[in-house]
Amino acid sequence: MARPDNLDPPLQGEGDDDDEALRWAGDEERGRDAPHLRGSEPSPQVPLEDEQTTSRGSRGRTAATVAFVLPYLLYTVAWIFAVQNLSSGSTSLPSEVLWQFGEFLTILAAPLWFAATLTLTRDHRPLPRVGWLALGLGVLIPWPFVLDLYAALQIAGNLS
Amino acid sequence: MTAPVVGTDSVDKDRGGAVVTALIFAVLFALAEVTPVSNLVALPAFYEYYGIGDATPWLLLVLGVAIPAVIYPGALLLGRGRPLFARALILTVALASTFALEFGVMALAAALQPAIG
Repeated sequence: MARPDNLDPPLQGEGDDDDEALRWAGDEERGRDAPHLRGSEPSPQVPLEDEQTTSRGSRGRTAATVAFVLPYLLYTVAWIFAVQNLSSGSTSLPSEVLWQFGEFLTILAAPLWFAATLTLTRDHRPLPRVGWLALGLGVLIPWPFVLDLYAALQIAGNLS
Repeated sequence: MTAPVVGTDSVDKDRGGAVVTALIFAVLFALAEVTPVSNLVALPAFYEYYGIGDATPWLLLVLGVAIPAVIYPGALLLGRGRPLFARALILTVALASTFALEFGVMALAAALQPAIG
């Protein structure tokens, strides 16, 4: 026979428990809202002003993204060219494999940075996205290509 | 009756995944250290041999070694509290950027190298 001590406490609101059961860990981080049962609290309506602000933010994000497409594309092409002129100077296979792996990742660095910024700032305001994209352009400057280009221009200047 | 605790396993799995991801990338970042460290060891001797020891680009050599050592913890910090996919994405971008920066540093060192002979 069960004693009263062993019994679970009385339910405080079955609707809340059901809602809780439909919620998954990490939903808040991912920005997902838990589904609600029929009859439970309706989700609050987004005011029209907020919708307009959101729309403006979305337009700003899109504009920022489009503006950065060309520089990132140029960086990718520049790194492809730059990598052609680099060599490890090593004859050992592990060093060569490591070097090739590095070159492969280097070519992917600019598109990866761009895609990662887009993915990770999806729900942010435009400014963080612009900031991260600008930082990427600063970090990923294709120095080997820039220096080769500079040397080529100097040679061309000397010839003419 | 108490409400079932949903998602505890998922959180544990995420935590385990995060640790494994961090370890895998630690190895990859360690591999990214191989070339800069060998440059730091070999290049000064090379410069000395050719009589241009004064022109050894110490700053760039040390910078090359420091890049992965700084970027890896930075990426780990940036990914803290994020889902596993985001962490892995951040670490991948960080690794790719590390190699790009290292190639940049090497190119600058080569450009600064005085003519030999």
